[in-house]
Amino acid sequence: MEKMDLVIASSSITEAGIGCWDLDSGAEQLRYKSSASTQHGLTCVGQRFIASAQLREPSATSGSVLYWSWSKPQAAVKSFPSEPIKPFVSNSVGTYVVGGGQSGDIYLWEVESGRLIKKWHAHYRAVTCLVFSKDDSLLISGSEDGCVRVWSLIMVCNDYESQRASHLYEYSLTEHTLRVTDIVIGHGGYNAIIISASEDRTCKVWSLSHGKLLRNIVFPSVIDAIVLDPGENVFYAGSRDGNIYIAALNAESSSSSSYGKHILSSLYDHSKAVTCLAYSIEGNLLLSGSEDGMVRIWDPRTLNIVRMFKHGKGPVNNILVVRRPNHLTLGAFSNSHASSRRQCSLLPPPLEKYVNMDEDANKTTVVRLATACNIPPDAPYYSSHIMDEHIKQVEQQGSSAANEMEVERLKLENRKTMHMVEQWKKMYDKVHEFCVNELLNGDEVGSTN
Amino acid sequence: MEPCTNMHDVKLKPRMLRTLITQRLPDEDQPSRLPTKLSHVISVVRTHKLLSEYFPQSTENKAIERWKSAVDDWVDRLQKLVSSDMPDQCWTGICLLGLTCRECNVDRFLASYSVWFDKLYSRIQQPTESQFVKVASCNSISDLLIRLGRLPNMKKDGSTLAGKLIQPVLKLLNEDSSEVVWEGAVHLLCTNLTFFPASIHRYYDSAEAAIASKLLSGKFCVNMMKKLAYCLALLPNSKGDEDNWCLLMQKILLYINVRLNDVFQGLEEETKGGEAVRELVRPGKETPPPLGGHTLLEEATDKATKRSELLQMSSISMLMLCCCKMLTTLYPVKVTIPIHSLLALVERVIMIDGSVLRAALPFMTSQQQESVCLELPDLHLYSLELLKAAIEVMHSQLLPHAAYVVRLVKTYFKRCSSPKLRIELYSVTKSLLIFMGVGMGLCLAQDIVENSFVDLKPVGDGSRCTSSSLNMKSASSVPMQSNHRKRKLGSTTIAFDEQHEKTGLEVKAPEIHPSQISVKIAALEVLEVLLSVVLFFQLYTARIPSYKDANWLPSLIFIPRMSAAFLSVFNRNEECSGNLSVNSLWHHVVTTLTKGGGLRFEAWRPDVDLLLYNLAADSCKDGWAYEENSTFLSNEPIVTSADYQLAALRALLTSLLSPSRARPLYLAQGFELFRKGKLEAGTKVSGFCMHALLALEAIIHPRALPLEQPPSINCNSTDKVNRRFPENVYSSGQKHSNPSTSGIQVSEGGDPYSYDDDLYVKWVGNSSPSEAPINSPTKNMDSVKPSEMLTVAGSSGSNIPDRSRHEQADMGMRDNDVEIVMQFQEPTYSKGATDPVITNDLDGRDMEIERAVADGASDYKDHETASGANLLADNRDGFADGGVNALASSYTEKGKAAVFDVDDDSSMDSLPDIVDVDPDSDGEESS
Repeated sequence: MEKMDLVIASSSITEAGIGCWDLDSGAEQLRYKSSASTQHGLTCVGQRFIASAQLREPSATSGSVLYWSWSKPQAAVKSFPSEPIKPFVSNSVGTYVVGGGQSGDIYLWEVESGRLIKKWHAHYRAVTCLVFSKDDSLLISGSEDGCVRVWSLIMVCNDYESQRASHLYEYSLTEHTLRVTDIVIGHGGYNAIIISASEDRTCKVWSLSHGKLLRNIVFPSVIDAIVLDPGENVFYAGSRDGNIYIAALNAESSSSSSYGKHILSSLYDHSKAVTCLAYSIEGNLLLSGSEDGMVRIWDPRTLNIVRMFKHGKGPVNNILVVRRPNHLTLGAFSNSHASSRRQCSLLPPPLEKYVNMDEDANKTTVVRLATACNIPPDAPYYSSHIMDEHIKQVEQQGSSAANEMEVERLKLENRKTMHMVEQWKKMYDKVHEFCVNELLNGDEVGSTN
Repeated sequence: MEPCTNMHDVKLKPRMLRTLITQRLPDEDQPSRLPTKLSHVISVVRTHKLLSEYFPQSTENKAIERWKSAVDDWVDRLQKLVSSDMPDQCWTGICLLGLTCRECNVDRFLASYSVWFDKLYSRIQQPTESQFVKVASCNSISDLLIRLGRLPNMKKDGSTLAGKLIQPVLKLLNEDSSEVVWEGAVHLLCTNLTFFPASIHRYYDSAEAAIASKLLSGKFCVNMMKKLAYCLALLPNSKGDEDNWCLLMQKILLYINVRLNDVFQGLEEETKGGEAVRELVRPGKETPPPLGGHTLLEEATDKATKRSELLQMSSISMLMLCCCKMLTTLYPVKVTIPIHSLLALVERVIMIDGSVLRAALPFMTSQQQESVCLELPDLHLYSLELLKAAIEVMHSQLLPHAAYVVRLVKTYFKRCSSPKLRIELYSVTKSLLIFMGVGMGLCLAQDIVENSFVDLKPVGDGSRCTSSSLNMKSASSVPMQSNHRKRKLGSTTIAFDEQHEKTGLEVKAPEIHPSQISVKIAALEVLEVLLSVVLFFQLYTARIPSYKDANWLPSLIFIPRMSAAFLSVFNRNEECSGNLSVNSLWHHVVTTLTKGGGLRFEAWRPDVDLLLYNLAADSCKDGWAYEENSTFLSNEPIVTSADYQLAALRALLTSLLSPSRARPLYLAQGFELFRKGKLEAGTKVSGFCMHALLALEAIIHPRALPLEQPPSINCNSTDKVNRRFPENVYSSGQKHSNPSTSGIQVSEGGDPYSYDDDLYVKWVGNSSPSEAPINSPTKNMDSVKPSEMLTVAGSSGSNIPDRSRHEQADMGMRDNDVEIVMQFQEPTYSKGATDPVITNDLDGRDMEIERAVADGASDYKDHETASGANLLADNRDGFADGGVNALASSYTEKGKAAVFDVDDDSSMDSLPDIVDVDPDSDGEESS
């Protein structure tokens, strides 16, 4: 099977841009230019294009979000939301993007139209990270005030209900004392776990169904990035001291670890702080980004580094592992096929700044209907069925039952008519006889008279 | 006569074909009756693939030639038949030519499709032709086009042919008078639209007019109407752009809404229709041309007054169906869906329940009302279809409108009572839950639970009831809230247990209408989805205030009504203890609903679980339904009690699997049921029970599996990784074997390998506590299995790898080389397993060994023993990879040299570094 994973990493300084590598071969693909991404501000929207929220000057009044199509290094679409956006994520199918603002507002945009569907005040201070639940129906946000909140997007979008509710969120998890630095969510609807990391040096494991704290893990240093092992056996926590700690979830943990309770061990190679983590399920590899501008790839079984990508001088602050889009074959970044280029260069319009108050605009939605790509249309020879039926019909009419019945009926009718004819004949004969007799008799009478 | 081996012999095929030609095909010279066995001919040709001309590799040329000439004859004969003047012969020829298009060899098809096409084409052009000949030609051409459309590189030729067809086909549609011919023409048009959409581009408007006029007349059978609707939905494909799709959608919606204004006169507020139309045609924008063109509209409005309501309603339903198809069929570009109008239309229709407005009462004749009410359920059904299609096509993008949809569904749940509609509504709910996930479950859980409880209410109000065997104990174990009922119930509990036996045996199943079973199945399916997707009851408690005033008001009003119903049922059957358990269950539901703290939704889960268990147990208590394969009796799929059993069992499994706080209450009973069901070999139920047992296995033996791959795969993949990133492995290996980071090394050696399958460890760990915390040895033993040492070593085998390491360590330190190496390789190795050279000092072990290896390595180097090097590589690999130690031993078995080339390199390369550092520290520590 062809390995399909791509690694995308961004940096907080503009020169480095967004790097893209083939995870399997290590070959660097296109580098997308002029991006200074925010922490948690890089996302791949439904495999279709890359989007990133941009770091702004402190004085800036508007934010900036850029889109890159796969095949071009320059940003193709620029949007300027009404305030600087820090975390920026899309849902798994790429129909919505959400951004968290400096003021604590969360913005929900529809990708296809760029429409700002909803903007709501979520936190008292800036939003630091945003995560969609696996089924895309819930949103989990973390903030500088240490608060983690769970939102049901349906509830948020339901104007009628939301005006009446005392609060919009499903849960507000307030155990963290300092800025929340990262959040991940596990599999499963009801039983999913949320893990949040904070500057208070703890990671907390929450139950989504109960909104309760399940486990609190104190780390030797501040954790800036966390990633779940796909089996949710352990999670990896990248810390500012350069260690990636392995903390137990399902795994058995001994209380006498040298790092603290529930911490099993650590991966160490970085001279500088770990800023972001990602996990490639395909290769079963752990990826970490560091302040020294390197992306390291670890084999979590052996805890060894198997590969390193050099991203640039500036710190790496986001890593994504994405499936290679179908139209991008190996080496196709620079000279992609004409049709696929057309396809991927069709980026959606920029994101709107304000919620559109025009009622009409909200009444239609641009939707991508199912499209047939290269698969021939799936129309069976259904005429065979029709033909069979037809044959049956014809056979019935032409020969068998129907005809027989008809013939029988005709025969019967024929017999009846024949019978009638016989009767008429008889009657005629009688009348004839009568008349003849009458005439003859009359003659006789006359003659006798 | 050549002998043929069996019926599959290639040599036999031409002979079979010739027999068919001479005996079954009509003779063109002799007028005769239609061949009676034409369908038999077709089936024989298909079964034996008589036209395929597919030869196995070894076929002789003679046989090939013979078959070819036979097919040539077949085709010749068909062509003669097609050109015959006799309609019946011509018809036969055409049908069989269609068959030939499907069945013949590709090369033959490519060579002669244009000739065939011309033959068939001439037949649909002649107006005097018999109807059957025309229809058959349409179908055969359609087959030809489908075959053509599926072949690569034939698009262009196909389009040319298809383009020629459009005009005659439209002519057939417009001028011919027979419905049969229209059906054929529409079918051909659909094929064209699917495979060669561009061919209709030029005739778009006339095609639309032709189809729409038929559709709007509404006077055909349902099948024909559905075909027309489908065809209309495909029409935008011919242009393939966004505008046409949207325009057609707008036209259809407009037409439906305008017609509904007439139909719903007096049944709804006058303003509603106007609103809907206004929304479709925005002020300042051009009104789209009416569906099917202007002339058509005028005709239609003229006739509308004369036409019966029935025809109007049926054409409205069909246009809704057309909308569904438009939403769900493939389309090449993005489109703008007027989602709000669609939802508004759905709302408009399903909110009409046939009651006449007070103001309109004087103007409404009873006949009018009757005629609308007759057709209303169908209209509702198609509206729900439309809603479902909209949900499915919008996926997550429904989000801004989700609240609206939820409101619709909730309202309709209260209004709809007909089984057909409830089934459809459940299926809408299911789509909602699946596509919108947990968030939607939040909004709908309560309504789903309430409604499915009502629908799953055991049938039969009398004492004879299939559900009488509901488990009384479990029912009474549910805490009863209402006090006076509680007393009564308590007193009857014991008595009932005895009676229960009797009634359980004597039950005579009441008549259950099939449609009720279908509703139950639908309700079960939704509960299943709810259980598996969501179950977020706790969340309700998190926001009580909001739900109290907004969401809860209607349902609180609803509750007394429901409870009244339950109580009446309860009272009626009070004396019949056979039904008591059932009723107590319902009673309990009511009490949970009505009691002040009814917002505690956690209480629902046990109820749902209990209900599902009881339903499953009940459905299966009379044995397992025989899955009658009676489909040949009717075309409609028949819902049998086997289906119901299956649905009940599915729901039970979900309830058992769905995560909850404690162990599922009915786990043991569930197991019993599934085990029994499994024995019904060959049925669907049995298949499902197998699956259920497998799934439940995980509950009985819960395991937290680490993500590690099993050892065998593990070593391969590591191997691969090494191959892939040799330099990296090397460098990292270097770093990590640096003694200065000894702490990490320990963890490296110990921890990751302990992630392996923990189940075995748990069991083994119990027997030998000293080993328990360390997983690697046992794991090693586990994977060492194939080797013979295990058989000798028995339980102490787990220590073998340690011992070997240890021994090797000794060896390394003693500078003892070749002999010991040899000892390692000899099969007598197993003998050594009984040696008590076992250490459990595991903390120090890894370090020690690693150093030992390094030493050993240097020694081997000195001696340059090939086998030594190999073994070293072996062991070295085992250490570097820890958990893969088993690998080493299994490889030792196989014979190694070649296998370890890669690792050999890396280990040899990495060694000098270690050697540089190690000896000092080693010496110190060992001394």
